[in-house]
Amino acid sequence: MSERVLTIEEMAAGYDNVAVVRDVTMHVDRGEVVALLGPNGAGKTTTLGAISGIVRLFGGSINILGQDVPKLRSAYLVGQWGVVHVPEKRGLFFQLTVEENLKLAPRLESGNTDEAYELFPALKALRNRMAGTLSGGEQQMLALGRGLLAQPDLLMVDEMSLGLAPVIYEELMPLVRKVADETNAAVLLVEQHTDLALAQADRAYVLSHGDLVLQGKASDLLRDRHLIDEAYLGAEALDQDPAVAGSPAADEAEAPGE
Amino acid sequence: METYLQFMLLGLGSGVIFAGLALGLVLTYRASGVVNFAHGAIAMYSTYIFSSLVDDGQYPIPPLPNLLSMIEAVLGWFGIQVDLPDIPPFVQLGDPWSWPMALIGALATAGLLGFLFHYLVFRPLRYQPPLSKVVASVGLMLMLQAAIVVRFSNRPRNVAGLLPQDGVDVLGTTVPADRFYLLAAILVATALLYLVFQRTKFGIKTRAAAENEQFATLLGISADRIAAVNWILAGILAGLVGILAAPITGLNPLNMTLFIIPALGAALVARFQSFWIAVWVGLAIGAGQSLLQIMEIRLPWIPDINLSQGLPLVVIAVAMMARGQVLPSRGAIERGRLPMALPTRIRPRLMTFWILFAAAILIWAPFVWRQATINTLIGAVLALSLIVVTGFSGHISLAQLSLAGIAAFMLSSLATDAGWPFPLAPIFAALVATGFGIVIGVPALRVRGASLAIITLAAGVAIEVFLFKSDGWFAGDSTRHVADPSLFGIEFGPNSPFFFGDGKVPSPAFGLFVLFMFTLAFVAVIRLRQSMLGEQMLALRANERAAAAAGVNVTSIKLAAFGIASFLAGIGGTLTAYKFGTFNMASFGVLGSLSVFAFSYLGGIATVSGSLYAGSLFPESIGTLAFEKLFFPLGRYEAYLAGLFLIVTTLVQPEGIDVFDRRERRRIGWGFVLLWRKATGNPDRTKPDWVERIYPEPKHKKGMRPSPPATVDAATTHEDGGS
Amino acid sequence: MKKIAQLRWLAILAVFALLVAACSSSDGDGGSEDTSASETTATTVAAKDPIRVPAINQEDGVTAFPDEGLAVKAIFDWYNAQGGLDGHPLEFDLCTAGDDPESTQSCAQAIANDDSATFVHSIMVPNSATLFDVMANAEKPILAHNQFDIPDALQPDVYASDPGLLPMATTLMLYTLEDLGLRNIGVVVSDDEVGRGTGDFLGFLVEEYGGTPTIITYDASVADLLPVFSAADLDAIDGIIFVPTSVEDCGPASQALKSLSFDKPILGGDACTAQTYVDSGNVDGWIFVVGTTLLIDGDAGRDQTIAIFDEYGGPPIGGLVAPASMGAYFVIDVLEAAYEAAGNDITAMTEDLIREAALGYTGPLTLGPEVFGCPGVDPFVGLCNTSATVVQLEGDTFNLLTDWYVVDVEPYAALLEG
Repeated sequence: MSERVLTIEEMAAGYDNVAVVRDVTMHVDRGEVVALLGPNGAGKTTTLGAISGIVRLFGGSINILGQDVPKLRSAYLVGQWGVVHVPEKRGLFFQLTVEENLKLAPRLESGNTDEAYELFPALKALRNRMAGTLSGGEQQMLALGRGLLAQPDLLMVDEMSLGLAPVIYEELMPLVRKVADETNAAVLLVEQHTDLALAQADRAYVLSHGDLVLQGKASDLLRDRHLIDEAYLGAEALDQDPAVAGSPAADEAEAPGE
Repeated sequence: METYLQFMLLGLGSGVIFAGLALGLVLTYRASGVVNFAHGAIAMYSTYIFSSLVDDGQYPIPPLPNLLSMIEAVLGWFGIQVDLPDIPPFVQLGDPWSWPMALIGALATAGLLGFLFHYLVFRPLRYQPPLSKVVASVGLMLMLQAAIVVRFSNRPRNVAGLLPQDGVDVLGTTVPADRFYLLAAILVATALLYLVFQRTKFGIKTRAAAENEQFATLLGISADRIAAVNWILAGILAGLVGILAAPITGLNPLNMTLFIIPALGAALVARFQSFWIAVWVGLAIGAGQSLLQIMEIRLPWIPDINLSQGLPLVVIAVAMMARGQVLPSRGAIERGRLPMALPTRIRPRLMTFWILFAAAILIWAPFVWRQATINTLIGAVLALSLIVVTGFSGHISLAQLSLAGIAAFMLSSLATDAGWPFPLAPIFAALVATGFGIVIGVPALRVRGASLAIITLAAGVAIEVFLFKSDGWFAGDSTRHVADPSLFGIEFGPNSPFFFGDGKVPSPAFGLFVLFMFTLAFVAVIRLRQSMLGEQMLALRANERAAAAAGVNVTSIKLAAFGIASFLAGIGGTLTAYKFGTFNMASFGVLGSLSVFAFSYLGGIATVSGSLYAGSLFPESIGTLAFEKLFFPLGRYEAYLAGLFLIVTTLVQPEGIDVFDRRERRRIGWGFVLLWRKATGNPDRTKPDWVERIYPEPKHKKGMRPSPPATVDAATTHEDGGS
Repeated sequence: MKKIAQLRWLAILAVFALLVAACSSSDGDGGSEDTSASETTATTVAAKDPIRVPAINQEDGVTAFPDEGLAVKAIFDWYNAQGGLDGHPLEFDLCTAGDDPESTQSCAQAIANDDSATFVHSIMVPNSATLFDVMANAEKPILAHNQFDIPDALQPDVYASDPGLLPMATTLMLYTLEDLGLRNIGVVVSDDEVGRGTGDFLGFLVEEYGGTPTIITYDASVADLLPVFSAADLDAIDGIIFVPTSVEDCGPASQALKSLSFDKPILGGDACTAQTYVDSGNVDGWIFVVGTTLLIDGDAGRDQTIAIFDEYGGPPIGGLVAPASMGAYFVIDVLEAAYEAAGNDITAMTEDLIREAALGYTGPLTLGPEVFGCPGVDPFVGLCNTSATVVQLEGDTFNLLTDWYVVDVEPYAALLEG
């Protein structure tokens, strides 16, 4: 049993006073790649934000490496818990150079950025270019490279494929798997491209309207692809599918009539 | 040609001061997104600390709230006299200090001030719109300055020069050595800052946080801590400039505080981004001023209109306008709301009551209250001017009193010198002010927020320097005279006879005239608020692009806002002229504009009735007089408290006293209603409409408990996740 | 929501506590009306009905003259301790004003509207325009106003003991031209209507003597006075006359001149004789024009005044404390004359009597010249005193250099035309 890196129990989180995520329970272990799926507005980004501390937590608990993350924590302490969150917009500073962006990786005392260049040789030539002038793929590499420099215990990537040509993200995706395998980090991946994400993941959770509606092994979900489509449409669709354990339709199927 | 170089070299003294202050301004902005109008005041304050330690070994304590005094006072109301310890104004720290120790003490204070500014004021305001930050910064400036006036009075103080002062011969001219040392110090500081920002991790973090605070947070960078360190650095830098430059400028509460204006100009040209540009432009302004000054003296063909003082600032404004610069945004979410411009309507009966009440006071009350009421009403007219341009339209204008001054001047020229009759003279005078106001409004077409505030401030200084002081086409005495106004043989000035009342000055006739003018202005602004034009102004204030997309003619609405506001300011100016009879143009200076702005914001910048609250805060107005009668005369503390209140208002109630008053009255009223209902056994707990109407605060909605998620497991139908 | 509401009340509470603290701290000085000390003096020595001396002084603001107020108060306290005016104590009824003209107007109106106030002793009131307007309308005379500018000197019904800017600048210039024999003179004046007028006239004087004037105007708000002095081409001139309108300007000016190692004669106005500047050492060797003898070693009036200040809590002498002190003595002299004219009946001391007493007063002035006469020469009605003298600072003593000049003010009228 590998170490549990992230445990979330009954978490509710949101903005101002509205809870976007209402009740999420999930976990990620070391060396695992877990996909977080769901339609737009489901609360995936909010979930990641709640873990890394930029979104307000209304209820429930988050536990990282055995430490209960306090509810009123300062967002910037994320670096201390080995959590790296690569946000939807990549989180790069366009006014800074590639090198300067890399230098900002958390927990990078030495300031030595060589590892990132080893991982992404293409960045080496762009060392002193302003990050804003890079192409989408290059920016994603920079973001990932910076994240990896931090030697994270938990790596969270939000919509890595966003705005990237298929060729590029097909190249980048397997990296995520590689990271989990080689560094034993826990990886939480938010993706719109369901198939691509499931291909690399061990398990997956599906969010819809702030609720967790589906969860399971990636292989199972890939096989029963239609479940995910239904999940995107909402819990009602799932209720009507007898293949889903615990749904009213399944109960009907078990004991028809009665 | 060589002489011109010499002249420019002589401008090194002022240039270095402007450059040093500009450096700190850029540092502050890059680290926290705040344009700190009080930066020069920090320099001044630290220099006073230094002077006090070196001369007397004393450390001044600013006026602080003392709860023990409050207990004393409360007990005093019941006739119990107690004497509890006070906070001493100065702390004697032994003999006069040596200059190195005093320098350390003063710079430590400067750093502390920077930190307190950040932590107590600008950090809480970080998501607020620029208006709040400008106001808070102006408040801090007023407060620091007033604190020094309270503690040190105005006895001239000399600060021993820390740098060698012997003359150095350069290019055939003698320049004291300290200018060069100061220049070297500033250049070194600039280089250091540049290196820190470019090379060190701290600098990179600061730039990152400046670009996008949220992304920085994700990387474990605390934008807050970074800002705090930078504020402390900026404070120390300000202190250093002040102390080293004191022998050049002399030490008084006003100097450094005002030198911030050219420094702001220099920082503005640098877009508050580049240290080097800010420093070079600061030096250039100093050199340029010196050049113009000497040229004016040596070359008789140059017109004597104080070119040296006003021109650099005007040039900056033109340059900024031409480049159309906007201060770089910070990527932080601006969550705060602008002060709400509550809808308003005319309530004829209530208004009639108040008018009659005011008229009664203006006729029969003791003269002190009559004058106070007049001062309040005139102040309210000036406040209405700011309500239109800043409250409704969102443009920060720090030049309103200068516009009032133009009208006052024109009135005295037209009415007294040229014999124009009432009401032609005041109306035309106000129209002249309107013309100037529209010209000032032109930069607003391309520039917003703090940048516009800086430009209007510079414009106010330019008006003061070009028009009010010189022998130019506003020629003549700086003392102006205006006779009592009269129409059809009936006089209604402050000295005019009136059939009722006690026969003392000010005459009720004048009071009623002012009341009449105020009512006209008040109703006009209400109608403006209700009109399409008013809606368009508010739309522009909220979101200029969206408004333009919706078909609002941005240019004409903005200019209309400035035009209407300046006309109101002009009316205020003419009323002021009539009020004094004989007045000096110096009373319409830049500091006055800042005070008018402060009072207007305090009273309520976006609500029409806020003008009355604002008016009552002006000197010798109802608010201040009532306070004096109830408690004690404020005297020197008035400016200090005005500054303090201003800061508190931005933090806690940006709508000002007006809305605060309305809401608290309703809350207290609701409390009574509740009590009454409980007492009479009425179970109804719903709030009546008149309570709910003053913006209900959003309530905290708890998340709902949903059903458990479904789990897929191919092998079993085993339920996972309890219900 | 509750948190914000609590914060609001907390803020209000803090501010209130601050206000109360301000009240009880000693320098906050509860009153703009200060009659306490004179009342105590009244009961201890002089026991008859007091004679009210309504006074105005600007003390609350960036521009403030608290020392000058203290000086006047000390002199009145001493006078009352000597028995007052034939047993009547002088009740020093001071109204303090701030920077804003409204506060000056308020003080003035209080006096104008008060039937028992028959004059006002105006100490240092920069917002003189509004003061004059109110008093003129109330037809009450103003005594001992410190002359700030030409409009001050043009006021009827203002009786000034201080010679003011023009006579003093003229004295200084005449000393330079006649006694020092200099011809190429740099004149540094402030860049406003007053300063320019002064500069123009002084330049005219120099030319009358066949000299070459260089008139330099400086803006008081400028950061550095160095360019101004350098513009004078210091090598070509034989001496500099510096006539500031604002006391603060003395510091930077003296510093600039010192750093330029200007070793020729420097002559300055009396504002620069303030103790701070003497202490700084930067004005050592300067020649000053003064309207009083308060700074001159050996003068009887000076010794008396210093003793008074020591005993009754007066300010450090120097700067504008000198004309303020002379003004206090002048007011006392005028009141004594008015009292006599009123047949020793204080209720008969009307505005007219006081006015006549002032008009008829011909000196000698304590701390001032022997020759003194109101009204001034037309059109400078208020300019009763056109005498000044010249002293030089050596170390920390001022040495008298010459006798009193009596300046002819007729040519000033021409200045007004052009």
